[in-house]
Amino acid sequence: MADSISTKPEEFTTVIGPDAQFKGELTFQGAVRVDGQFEGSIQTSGKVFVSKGGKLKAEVKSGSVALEGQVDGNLTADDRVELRATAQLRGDVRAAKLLVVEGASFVGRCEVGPNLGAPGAPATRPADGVARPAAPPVAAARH
Amino acid sequence: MAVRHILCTQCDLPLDVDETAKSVNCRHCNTRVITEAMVVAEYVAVRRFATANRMRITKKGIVYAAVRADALEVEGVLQGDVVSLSSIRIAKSAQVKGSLRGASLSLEPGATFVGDVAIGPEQVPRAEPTVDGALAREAAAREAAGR
Repeated sequence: MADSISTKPEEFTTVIGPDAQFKGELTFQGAVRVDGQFEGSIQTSGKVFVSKGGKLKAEVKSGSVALEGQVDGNLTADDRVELRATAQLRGDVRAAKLLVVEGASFVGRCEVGPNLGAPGAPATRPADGVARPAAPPVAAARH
Repeated sequence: MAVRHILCTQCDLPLDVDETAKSVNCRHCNTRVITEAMVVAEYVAVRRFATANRMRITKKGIVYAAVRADALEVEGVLQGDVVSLSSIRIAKSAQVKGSLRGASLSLEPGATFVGDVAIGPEQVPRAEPTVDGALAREAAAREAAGR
């Protein structure tokens, strides 16, 4: 799957192990893998990966996010957010691209589209620019 | 007669319908339920736009409605709340605004979507055989085995 976030172990400079619990603010440049429990906030230009046993209760701002575990919190990604089959997300997503694989669970608000994930992206929502009907909506024949 | 198990798009109760049927009257709530697949390539503005089958809104389709379908594909414009019993696919050319509820969601890179999301197998009811339908099938199977 070339068009997905790579989660090879050697790519992660920071790893929160399966038996670790971390509370606080994490700011760094590289990639983080969460196998344990994390509570707080994460800010990175790299990627965040929450593995199958990982639990995250955090506000995340990152380059990309891949989820296999449980997340309670809002995600903002410059590029891509991936919810894999075992992922459970409760929170809002703001990203340029979103992938939700069958089996994943996601409840929250979502803003996805080109330029939406980038920091400092315009607050206007592209979908607001959707051409409104010129005439008042008329009931179509179909129902 | 091939039978399809569907849920009434109005009351969510199970119905067994012929695979070739284009619409049926729900025996629970007496609403007319469209059961044919829909391809929307026009402007549609209604309160509710529902089918107990697949719905595809093509690039030319512009829909302002609450949409309900068994599976939904959007390539055009959709504004309204969506319930899809299985998958929701939002293509790269699509612009969607509203809430989405479905078993799975696929958003192609380039697609624009703003709204609330409730995605997961537990978020939607499942279409299962009705008791009457299951009994009838069991009887038919017994009869066939007895021959």
